[in-house]
Amino acid sequence: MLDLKNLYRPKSPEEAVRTLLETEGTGLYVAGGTIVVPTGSPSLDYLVDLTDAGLDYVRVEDTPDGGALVIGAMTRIADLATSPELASPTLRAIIEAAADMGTHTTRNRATVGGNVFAVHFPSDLPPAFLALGASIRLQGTDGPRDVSLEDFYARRSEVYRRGDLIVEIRVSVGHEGLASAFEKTGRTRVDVAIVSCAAAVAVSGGTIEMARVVLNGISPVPYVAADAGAYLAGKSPTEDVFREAGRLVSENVSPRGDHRASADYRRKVAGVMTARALSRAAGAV
Amino acid sequence: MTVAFTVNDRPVEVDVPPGEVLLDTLRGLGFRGVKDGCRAGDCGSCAVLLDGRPVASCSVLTGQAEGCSITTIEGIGDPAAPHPLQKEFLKRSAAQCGYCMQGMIVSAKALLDADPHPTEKAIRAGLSGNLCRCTGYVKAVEAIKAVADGKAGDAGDDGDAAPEHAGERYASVGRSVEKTEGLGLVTGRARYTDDFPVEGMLYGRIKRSPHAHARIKSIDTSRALALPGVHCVLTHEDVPRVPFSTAGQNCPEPSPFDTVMLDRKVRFVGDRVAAVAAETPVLAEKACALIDVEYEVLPPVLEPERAMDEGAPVIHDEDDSTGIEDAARNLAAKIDVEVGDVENGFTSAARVFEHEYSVQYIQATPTEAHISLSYLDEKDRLVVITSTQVPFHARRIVARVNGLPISRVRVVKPRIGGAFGAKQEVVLEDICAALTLRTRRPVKIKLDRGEELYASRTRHPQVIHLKTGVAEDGRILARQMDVLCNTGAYGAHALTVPSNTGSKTLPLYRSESLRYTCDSVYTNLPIAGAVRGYGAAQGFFAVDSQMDEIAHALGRDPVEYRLANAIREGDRDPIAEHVGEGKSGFERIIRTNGLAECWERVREATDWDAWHASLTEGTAGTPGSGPFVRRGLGMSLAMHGSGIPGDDMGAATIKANEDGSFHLLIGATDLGTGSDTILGQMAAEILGVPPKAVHVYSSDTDRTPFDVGAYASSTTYVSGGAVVKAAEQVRDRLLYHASVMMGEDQTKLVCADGRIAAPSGKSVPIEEVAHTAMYGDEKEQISYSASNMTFECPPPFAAAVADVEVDVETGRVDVRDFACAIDCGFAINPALAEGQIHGAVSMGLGYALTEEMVFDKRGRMLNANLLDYKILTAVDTPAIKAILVTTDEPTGPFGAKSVSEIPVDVVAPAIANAIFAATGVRLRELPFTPEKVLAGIETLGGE
Ligand SMILES: Cc1cc2nc3c(=O)[nH]c(=O)nc-3n(C[C@@H](O)[C@@H](O)[C@H](O)COP(=O)(O)OP(=O)(O)OC[C@H]3O[C@@H](n4cnc5c(N)ncnc54)[C@H](O)[C@@H]3O)c2cc1C
Ligand code: FES
Ligand code: FES
Repeated sequence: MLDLKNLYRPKSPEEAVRTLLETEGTGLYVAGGTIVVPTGSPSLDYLVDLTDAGLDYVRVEDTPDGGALVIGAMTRIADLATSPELASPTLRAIIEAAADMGTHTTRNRATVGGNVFAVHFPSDLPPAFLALGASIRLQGTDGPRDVSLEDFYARRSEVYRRGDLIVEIRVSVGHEGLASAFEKTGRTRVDVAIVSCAAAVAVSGGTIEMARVVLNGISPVPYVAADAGAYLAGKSPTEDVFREAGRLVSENVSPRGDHRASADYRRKVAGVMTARALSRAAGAV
Repeated sequence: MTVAFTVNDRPVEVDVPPGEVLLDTLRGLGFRGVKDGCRAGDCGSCAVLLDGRPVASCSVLTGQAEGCSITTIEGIGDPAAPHPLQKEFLKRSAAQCGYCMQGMIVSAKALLDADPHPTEKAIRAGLSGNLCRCTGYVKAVEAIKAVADGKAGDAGDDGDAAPEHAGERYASVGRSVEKTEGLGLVTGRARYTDDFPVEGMLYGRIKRSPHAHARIKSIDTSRALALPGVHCVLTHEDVPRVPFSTAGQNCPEPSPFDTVMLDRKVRFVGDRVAAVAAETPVLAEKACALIDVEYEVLPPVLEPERAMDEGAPVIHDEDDSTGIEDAARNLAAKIDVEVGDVENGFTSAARVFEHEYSVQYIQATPTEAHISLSYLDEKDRLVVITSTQVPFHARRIVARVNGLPISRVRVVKPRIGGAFGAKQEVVLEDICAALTLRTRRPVKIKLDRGEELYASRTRHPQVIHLKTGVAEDGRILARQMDVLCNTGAYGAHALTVPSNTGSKTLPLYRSESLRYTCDSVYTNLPIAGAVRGYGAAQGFFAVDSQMDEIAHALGRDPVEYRLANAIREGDRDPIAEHVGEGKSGFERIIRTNGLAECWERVREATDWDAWHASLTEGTAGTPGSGPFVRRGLGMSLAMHGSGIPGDDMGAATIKANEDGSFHLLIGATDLGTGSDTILGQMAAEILGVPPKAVHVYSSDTDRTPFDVGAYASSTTYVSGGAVVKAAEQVRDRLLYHASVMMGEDQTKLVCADGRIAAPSGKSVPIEEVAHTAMYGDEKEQISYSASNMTFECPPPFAAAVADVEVDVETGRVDVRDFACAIDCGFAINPALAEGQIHGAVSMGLGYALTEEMVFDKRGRMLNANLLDYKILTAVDTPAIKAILVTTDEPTGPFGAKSVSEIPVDVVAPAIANAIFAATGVRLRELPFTPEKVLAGIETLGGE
C-alpha cells in the first residue's frame, strides 16, 4: 500500500530525471502504474509521474540505414497494438506481443517503457524488440544516449545508472525481407508468459540469411538464443530446420522452475515456442 | 495534493494524499458502484472509463488522473433511465451477485463505443480484465451481443425460457422474471458491506503468522499502540478464550470446537496473531507491522500423508478443544461405513479396478472478499453487517464467543459479492465485534485478496482411493472408497465435507455392496471449509473418471455402461441413512430421476454423435483447429442433494399491505443466486399476484425469521417450502375476507390474476380485499409465519459433455464447448437456474484446469493473487450451454429440487474423460495443468 509524501508530474524528460534524482527520500518513476501502484512499498516517499513528459508517440524516422521505428516510452500497449506504423511483416512480432499482453484494462494503462523496464515476470515486448535488434534511448543527467537493448538486459549494472529514464525504443526497419513473429504460452489464454519467443528471419534465395531468436521466461532477463541463430544461418527455411533450432534451444537453456511452471516444462516449451515462432516468421516473408 | 478532473461530465476537485488511488477517491466521492476486488489490477471490479477507456481504478493514482474525464457506472445510466446495456443485463439476469457487473458494463460500453458490431471473440477479449465468478460470462456476452445487434429486449422476456408447460400451470413460477434487486446491481446502486457509510469508523486488520506452526512466546504491542491513530490492539491475552467452530452449521454443531478467537499458538501461515483497529487502512497495516512477536517455531505438518505418522508434531495439543476424533494423531474426524459385504463382493468379482485420484487446494474466490462491519447501535446492541451465507449461525457464534446474550446481537447480510461456501463460516465477525466492543467504535475489517486466498476457507484437498469389483456382465458387486482428507489447520467442516464425498457420490451407480472410509487430518496449511460442491465435487472426479476407465476396459460404451448401472426411480439410496450431518441420516427413496433425459439433451446440444462418427479406429482423438491439436469429447453424470434432511430449517413471514402488495420476510440468504427473487415468485404464485407485488426482505436477524442460511443446496427446497406454507395461510385469510365481501363459500374461492373469484362468476380485486381486511369491520393485519423442515433430500441429476482441444506440444487444454443438463425437478426461474449452471460449470472448469493454491516448503502460499491464482476469464471460457430438465419432484415446492451445486460435480470428470478421448492420456490428479497433460502425453508416447 503506497503512503507517498509527494507525486510529481514533470513536463519533460529532463525535468523528470532532475526531479527523481534531486528529491529527498526514495522515489521511482511511475508510468502506467500497473506494477508500481499496486505493489509499491509504503516506504516509497515519492513517485515521478511521466504522463506529461511528452513520451507518448510512435513514428518512423529516416536514418542512414533505411529508417527506424521509434516508440516513446509512454506509449500505451493498447495503442501500440493498433499502431499503423507497425503494420509490416518485419514488425509483426511487436504487434502480436502487444495485442496478447495481459487484459484489456492493463493494456489501456501499461506502457512500453514500463514493460521494457520491469523484470518482475517475463514481459512480452522485450523478446520482440530484441529479435529486431532494438536499441533504447536513455536520458540521464548528462543528456540522452542510445544503448543496445541487449546490453540493457545483459549488462544492466554497467549501462544503466540510477535515475536514467527510458525515453524511447528504436527499431531499425531497413532490413529488406526481414519478418518476425511472436509466440507465447501460459497457463490460460490470458496469462503472463510461462515461455514466450520472438523470432525474426530474413530469407533470400531460398536460404536463411539471418535469424534471431529471443525467449523470455527461461532466465531472469530475456534470453537471446545465439546458438539457434548461428545454426539457422545458411539453412533452408523448412519445418525440420525450425524444429531442430527448437531442439537446440531446449538443449541449451537452463531455466528455473517456480510456482507457474517447472524448469523441465519451461525447457520443453522453449523449443516448441522457438519452432513455432520461426515457422510463422518465415511463412510471412 | 489537489487534483481536478471530471466525473460523469461534472467537474470535481479533490484534495487527496499523493499515494491515494482513484478507486478510493471515487468511492469517497460517493461513486460506490466502483468496487474493490483485489487492488492489484487483476479483477476489473474497479473498472472505470478514463478518457473513454476501461482501466483498473485501483492501479491509477488519483494524481495521475489530473485533467482526465472519468465515467463510472453511475454515469452510464441510473435506475430511472438505465443505459440499453444495463436494461439488457437486467432483462437477461446477467448479474448474479453483481459485484463484478459494474466493471463489466463499463467495459462493454467502451467496447461498443469503439466497435458497434463486435464479434463474440471481440466481446470476450473486451471483457478479459473483468473476472466474474458467478456467471461464466454467458448471459453478459449474450446481452452485449443483443445490444450490438439491435436485438435488445427480444429474448429473456417473461416466460421465454420457461419450461414448456409452466405457462399453463403457473402464473409466476416457471418464469424468468427479473431479479428483485436487479436494477441496483446493473446500475451500481446495490449496497454491499463496504458501501455502508458509518461515522467514526475504524479500520480493522489482522496480524498474521509468518510461520506454519509456532508457539507465541511473547507479544509486545507497545510500539503499535504508540502510533497516533491506532485505537486498539487485541492479542490472546485480551479476548475471552472460548473454543468454537468457525463453520456456520446448525445446532448441535457437527464440527470440532478447536478454534479460539486469538490463541497462544499459530497453526498455518496466515493464522491470526493479533487484531488492530486504527483510523486509516495504512495505519492499521503499519500497526500490524509494529507488533513485536517472539515465536517458538515448531516443526510443521505439511503433507497430509505424514499427519498421522508416529511422532508427527501434534497440531491441536490444547486441552480445551472438544469434538476432535484423535488430537494426538492429528485426526480431526473419521468415517467408516459399510453397506453389504465388500470383501465378499471383491472376492466374487470377475475384475477389480483400483485407482488413486487426487484433488488440490482451491479457494472459492468470491469477487468480494470477506468483509464485516460492526458497531453499537443507539440501544448499545451490537450490529454486524457482514458478507455471510449464515446470518443466524453467525449471530449465535458471535454472541457466544464474545460472551453476549443472543438478544444483544443483530446480524445483517446486505448484498454480497459471491460466497460459494467460503462465507458459510465466521471468518471475521467474531473479531470485528471484539474490536468494536473494546473500542466502542464502528470497525470494518476487509480481507485483502491475498488473505482471502490463504486465510479464509478453501476446498478440502483429498487423495481418493477407489476400488470397484465388477461381475462378468459389468454389474458392480463391490465398491470401496478410501479418502485421506486434508482439513488444514482447523476442523471447520472436517467431518461433514468428506461425509459428502462418499454419501453423495457412491449411490449414483448401483452396487451390491459399498464401503466408505475417510481420515480427515489436520495439517499446518490453510483451513478447509465449504465450497460449492461440498465434498461431492471431489468424489465425483474419482467416481466418474473410474466409470469411464471401467467401461473402456470392459469394451462397453461409456454412456450405455453408466446408464445401465445408474440409480433408478424407486431405488433406495443405500448410504443416505448411514451418513448424515455428523450423525446417521434418513432413508432416501428416489422419486424422480431425469438422468436419461439429461443425457439425451447434452448429446443433442453438442457434437457428440458427429465427433464419434469421425473417429478413426485405433487413434485417440481427431484433428483439432491447429497442426498440433487433438480434439476429444468426454461425458459424465452426477447426482446431489437438496438440503440436509432432518437438520435444515427455514422460515418465512408474509404480511399483507392494504394495497394488495405483500412483504415477504425471510431468513434465507441470497448470495447473488437469486433466492430473494424465486422465493418472491413462489409467494406471488400462491397469492395470485404478480411477482412485483411481493417485496422481499431477507437475512436480518432482528427483522426476519430464522433460516439456517444458504448452504447444502437447501434454499429453494427447504426455505421455499416455508414460503409456500406462509403464503397459503395468508391466502386463506384473504379468501375469508373475500367470502364475507361477496357472500360466497370460502372453500370454493380461488386466488389468481390479482383477483379472488367464485364459481358464480363474481370476483373482487385482491387490492380491495386487502383494503377491507385492514380497514373494514373485521380489522386485521394479515400476517403469517411458517417454518419448514424435511426428512427428504431429493437428488437433482446431471449429465455433461465436454468438448476439448489439447495442444500436444504444450499440453494446454482449451475447452471448445461444454453442455450441462440438470434435472432440477422444476425451475422456479429458468433464467436464474441457467445462471446457476453457467456459474457452477465455470467454477468447475477452473477446478479441472487451472486453479490451485501452491505452497513453498514452509507452507507459505506462492500464488496468493489473481494474476497467479488462475480463475478463468471470458476469453478462456466457452459459451457454456445450460439445459433444464423437468421431472416434477412430488416433495418439492412446485416440483422443485436444487440446482446450484450439482453442476460443479460433473465438470472435472467430463474434462478428464475428454482429455482421454483426445489423447489417450488418463489423468487422475487435478488440476490438469499444461505441464501434467504434456507429461501424460510423453509417458504415453514412451510406452
Ligand atoms: C492483470 C495484469 C496482467 C498482466 N499481463 C502481462 C502480460 O501478459 N505480459 C506482460 O508483459 N506484462 C503483463 N503485465 C505487466 C504489465 O502491466 C507491465 O509490465 C507494464 O507494461 C508496465 O508498464 P507500466 O507503465 O504500467 O509500468 P509502471 O508500473 O508505471 O512501472 C513499472 C516499473 O518501470 C519503471 N518505469 C516505468 N517507465 C519507465 C521509464 N520510462 N523509464 C524508466 N523506468 C520506468 C517504474 O519506475 C517501475 O519500476 C500484467 C499486469 C497486470 C496487472
Ligand atoms: S480492484 Fe482493481 S482490478 Fe481488482
Ligand atoms: S456476478 Fe460476476 S462475480 Fe458475481
